[in-house]
Amino acid sequence: MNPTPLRASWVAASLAFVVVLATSWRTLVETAVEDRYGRDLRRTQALHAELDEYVMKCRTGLATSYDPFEQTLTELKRLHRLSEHTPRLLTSEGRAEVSARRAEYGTALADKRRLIDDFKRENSVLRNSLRFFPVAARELADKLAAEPGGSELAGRLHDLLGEVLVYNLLPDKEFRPHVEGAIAAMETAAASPAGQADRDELGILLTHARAIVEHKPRVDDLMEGILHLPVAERAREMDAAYSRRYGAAIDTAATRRLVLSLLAMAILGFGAADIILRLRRTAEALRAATAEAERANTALRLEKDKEKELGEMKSRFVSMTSHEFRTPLTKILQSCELLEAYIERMTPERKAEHFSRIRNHVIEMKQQLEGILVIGRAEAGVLEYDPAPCDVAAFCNDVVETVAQGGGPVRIEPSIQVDWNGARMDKRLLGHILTNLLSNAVKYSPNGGRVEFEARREGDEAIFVVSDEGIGIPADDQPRLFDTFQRASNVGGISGTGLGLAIVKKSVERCHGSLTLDSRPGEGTRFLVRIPC
Amino acid sequence: MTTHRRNVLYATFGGALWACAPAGGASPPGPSAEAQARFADASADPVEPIAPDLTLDPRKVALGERLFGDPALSGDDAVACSTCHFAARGMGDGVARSHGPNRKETRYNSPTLFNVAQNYKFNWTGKFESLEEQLNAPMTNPAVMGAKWEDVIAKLQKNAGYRRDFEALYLRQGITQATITDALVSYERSLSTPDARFDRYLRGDESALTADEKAGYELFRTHGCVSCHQGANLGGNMLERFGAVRDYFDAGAVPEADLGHFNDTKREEDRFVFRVPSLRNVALTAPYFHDGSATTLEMAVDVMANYQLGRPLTSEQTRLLVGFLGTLTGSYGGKPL
Repeated sequence: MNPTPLRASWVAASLAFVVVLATSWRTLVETAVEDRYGRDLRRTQALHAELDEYVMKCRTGLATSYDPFEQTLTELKRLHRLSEHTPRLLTSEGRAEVSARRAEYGTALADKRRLIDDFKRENSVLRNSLRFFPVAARELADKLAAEPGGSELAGRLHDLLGEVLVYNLLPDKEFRPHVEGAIAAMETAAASPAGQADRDELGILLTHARAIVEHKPRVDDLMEGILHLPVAERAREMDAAYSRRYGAAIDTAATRRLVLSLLAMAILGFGAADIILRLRRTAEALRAATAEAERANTALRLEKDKEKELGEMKSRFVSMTSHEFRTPLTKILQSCELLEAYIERMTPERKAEHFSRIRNHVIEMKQQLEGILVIGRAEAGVLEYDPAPCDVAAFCNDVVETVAQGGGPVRIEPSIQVDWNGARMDKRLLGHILTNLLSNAVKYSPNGGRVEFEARREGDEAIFVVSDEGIGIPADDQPRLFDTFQRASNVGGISGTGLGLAIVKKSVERCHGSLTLDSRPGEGTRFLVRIPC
Repeated sequence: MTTHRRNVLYATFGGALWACAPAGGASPPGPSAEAQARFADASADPVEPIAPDLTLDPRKVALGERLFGDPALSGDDAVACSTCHFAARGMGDGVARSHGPNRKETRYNSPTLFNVAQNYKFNWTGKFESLEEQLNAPMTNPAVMGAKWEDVIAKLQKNAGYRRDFEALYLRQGITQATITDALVSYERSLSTPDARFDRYLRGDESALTADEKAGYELFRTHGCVSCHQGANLGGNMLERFGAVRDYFDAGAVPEADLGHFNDTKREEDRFVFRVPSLRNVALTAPYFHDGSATTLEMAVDVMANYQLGRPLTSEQTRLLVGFLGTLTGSYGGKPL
């Protein structure tokens, strides 16, 4: 897989991770605050329930201290202030909704605050009169009953007391005119001379009865107002809105957490794959580079070997030429010096011998130079091949004769087919082949023996076989035997250029023929040449 | 609580049944002496002992006390908070209305600051619901401190001691309106006077009050004073019309100050409504009422009985009540006031 999309993937995942994290950072870290917010909302509702209960207690006189009102209201105010900072976990719409609910609740709370203040004010007066009136009324009634003519008034007072107390207990207002009537009747009755003595006392009593009549409905209305104020409902609504939004926010947060963890996994996965692929690619590149270096190294070594071989060949050439040319040149020089010094005293035979020697050596050198030229031409690829009608038998005989002229202890036994009708061959190349093979056979048979030369025709091929009983060629030398200036290791003092077999090989190849060698050291050598004719 | 509930039920329903009983007999059935005692018991302990606020930082209190006595908090360096609130006059100043140098007379009597932490409404009209909200009013009122906050802050900034203390207590906030207010309010909250003889009595020490004082307390409860003067501070937690049962003011011609809470809300029902003041240390804080019109406690008690309770007192009852009120004097800084 190509690593580029991999890298793009994990870079994209990282970017997405950062973006998601940045946008949802606030939603992920505030769980503790949210808990507190929700707790405060529920505590608010509980406190309102307590307040309502306490209002009823105060109304019935079960509670007399107003401190709990103020403590609770102070706490509610504190909670309301705290709730101003809606949790940032919520969406902005969620926060707006909670804030709107909070504002509604705040209005209701302020209403409750005011109603409770009013309630305390009215209730204090009512409780004061309620505490005083029954006792004072009872006392005055007793006192009046003891007075002459006061029993009727005492009875009326009893009635009034009963009516005021019932009025205080009844939730409805229909009873009020009745009580007010009773109070008025009482006043009228008190105006009679009988009650004169206790008029002040009765006046106070009636003031309190009126206070009860006046304040009781106010207190009840205020209590009703407080109890029916939708403040707890507003708090519940706020709580509900918050809980709903909070739940949604939690869901969102959970989703974002999931997305974040998936992204983190993607980053890690793609990143790891990317790194692994990169490493693998690097390793491959390294291996390829190593192989390339290896190849270059090998080529260099081969080049070096070739160069070395070339150098060796040059040095062989130099040693060969220095040796092979110096010997005939020395001999030519000798003959020339002898002829110069003693030409007048020499017999004609001796003179002819020296001239012949000079000529032979010159011919030898010429042949060697020719061989070098042939090899040079062959290696340059310009060796000419020009087959022409040819009397192979005669040509072979000439060659044998020429080689045999060299003398030596060797007997050449030719077996030459007579009929070569229609054969076409390049005589020069054939000459190179046969002359070299035959002269080698003669040369490397220092202990004499037979040299067999066979020339025959098989179909379109001319076959030439040269075999001797000479020193042979070691198997180790055979593979390189046909290279230029290469000579077998067992040649000893036998002189030679190392060119002959190379010329043979090049010539055979040029004639599209083939060459086979079969030789054993000490037993002899046999060459078989096939050339199309 | 169960005892109270039972007593109240007995009192109310008992009263109702008794009222429904046939009247006009020679000896109509009435509440026995025992029932009357229970009736009174319905509001047995409307008062609680006070305890000092132990959560305050003493260093803030000390700093607040220093600020409280520092004239640098006024606009002209002529008055300090302590000019009108000092311990010898029960953390008020003993005059009907304060009159500082180069200032108009204040609108209201300087109220006591003792036990102010237990109050839930502040200043005479109950305009403020927290000491922090309230503090700005006297600071900027030209008749009181007549200061500008930025001037005060600048003055305090020049003082190395204040700088050091504020930095030590409020870290980077340093000297601001909020931190000055916090230090002063901390001091105000520390002005608690526990251990009044009445507190000891409430805690169960019967010998803390004399027989007359106990009778005064009984009167205080049964006569109706406790309807408003309840809670730990015997007041300070509600507003009430001055003249609850009988008109106190001449509605036709009263100074604006007498309109009370009406000035804050403009609601008709708040006309003549004032904060019910705490009665703690009341023997030390003459003269009385928002205008300092009652020069003695006896006068104040009689006015209250007539206009708030609608029940004139005999001179004996007044004496007993005043005697009881004397037991509300606590101690400050470990010493009885």
